[in-house]
Amino acid sequence: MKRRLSRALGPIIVFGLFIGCWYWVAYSLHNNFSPASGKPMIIPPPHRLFEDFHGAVRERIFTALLISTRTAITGLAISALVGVILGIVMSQAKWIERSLWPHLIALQVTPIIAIVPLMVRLIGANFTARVLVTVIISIFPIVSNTLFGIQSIHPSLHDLFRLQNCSRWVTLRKLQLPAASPSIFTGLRVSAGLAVIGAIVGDFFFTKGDPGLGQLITFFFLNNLSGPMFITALFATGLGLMLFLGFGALNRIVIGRWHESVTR
Amino acid sequence: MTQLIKINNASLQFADGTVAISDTSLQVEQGEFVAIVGPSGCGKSTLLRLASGLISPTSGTVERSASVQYVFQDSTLLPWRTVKKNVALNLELQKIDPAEIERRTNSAIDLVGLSDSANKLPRQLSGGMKMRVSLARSLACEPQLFLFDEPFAALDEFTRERLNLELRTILQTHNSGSLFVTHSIAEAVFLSHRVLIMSPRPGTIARSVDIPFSTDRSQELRYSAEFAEICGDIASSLRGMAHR
Repeated sequence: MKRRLSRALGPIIVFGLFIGCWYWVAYSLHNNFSPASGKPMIIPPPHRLFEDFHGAVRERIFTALLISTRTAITGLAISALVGVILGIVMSQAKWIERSLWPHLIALQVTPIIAIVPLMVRLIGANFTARVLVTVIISIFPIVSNTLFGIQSIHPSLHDLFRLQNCSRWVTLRKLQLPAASPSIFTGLRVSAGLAVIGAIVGDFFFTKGDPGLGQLITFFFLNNLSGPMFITALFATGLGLMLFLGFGALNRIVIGRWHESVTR
Repeated sequence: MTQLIKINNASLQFADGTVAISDTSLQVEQGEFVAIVGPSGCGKSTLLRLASGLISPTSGTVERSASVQYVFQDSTLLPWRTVKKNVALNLELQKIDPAEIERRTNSAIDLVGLSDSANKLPRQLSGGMKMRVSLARSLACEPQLFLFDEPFAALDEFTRERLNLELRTILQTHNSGSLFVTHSIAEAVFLSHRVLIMSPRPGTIARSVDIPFSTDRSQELRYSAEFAEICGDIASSLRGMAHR
């Protein structure tokens, strides 16, 4: 108990400092209007953040959160499926890995905004486009971690399976996938955060269809509603955090029993 | 006597031109325990990989007429499987009837004295226990030929000697043959009917030493004058190679 408390102390102090800085900026920045003037503040102090969080504003935020969550989770699911399959395929032969790797790197380093106009023309500024952006942003860590996980398997374990004349499929199911699962989960956790970024960034580019958190932030910004804008950003952070923690919990359930990274 | 494996004039050259094994022949018969000793890097493990079929010789032949189990230098356990599930692995991969797997797995775990740890995970075991699990996994397959690649090299002396004795006792009841690679002369002499001395660059068998002790061996044998004499003889052969 005491140890837990002392471990929590660091993050609590840093959080306190962060809130302190927030107040200081809110009240001392000279172009951040004071509450006395009655005008909206660009940066509202923390305790006034939720003043406008009711009625239509709250409803809009919740709706947008739901839509962004749907985009992020759909994109992440596609990334996970395609990413793991790509990682597995690349691990099966050196020539496949060599053939695909440069293109994955290219996809990873392409600024997403550079291909947005193309996507608008091809598929329109809709849900599909947003999901596609999410996939492009979040797929790389899953592919590379799956590949790395399979390639890190000790050679004698592969020999063990070869000596029993196992098919590729059996080796994949009984050795490669379970052995790579800690690494795949690491990739999924990184990608979960990226998927939320993807969903919100996609929202900024593609303005048609149901507005997600990204579009709502733009809306609040244009209407000088700083408080709701902040809350929307907070919810976006919360969404990323939920997905990150969710995969952490799943990780613990699936591999926690045997893998050192979790038990230590 | 049935011949389990016969390697005839096998050579192995790597793609870079290095000759790892040169014109090497050996055979193991049913019930026979043959050890291979040699300086590190002389190709002992490579010879064993040739014997197992994991690699093929560039010339010469390897004839196996027996079911084979390979025991690796590290325990090669799957960390997500319990002791019992690890022991059952090879049988499972051979698609054997589940009831039969259950029976053979339990008896192999009994044989290596791990009944109390059957449901533990590898990370909860000591190095010696892990090696026992690895041994049990091979024993459960009831092969006609065991190939051992320095299985006890990573263990402390005390555990190693105890496992040597246990292995001897277990194998006595089987009628299987064994090819055992080690760099411990005492281990080779204690376990074997015959010790093959390998010389390096290129790897080949330089000498074969018959071990005259009866099959019934106890720990005391290690401290007998005759045991020391044989070990000394093998050691001087190996020293000769190092000076060449």
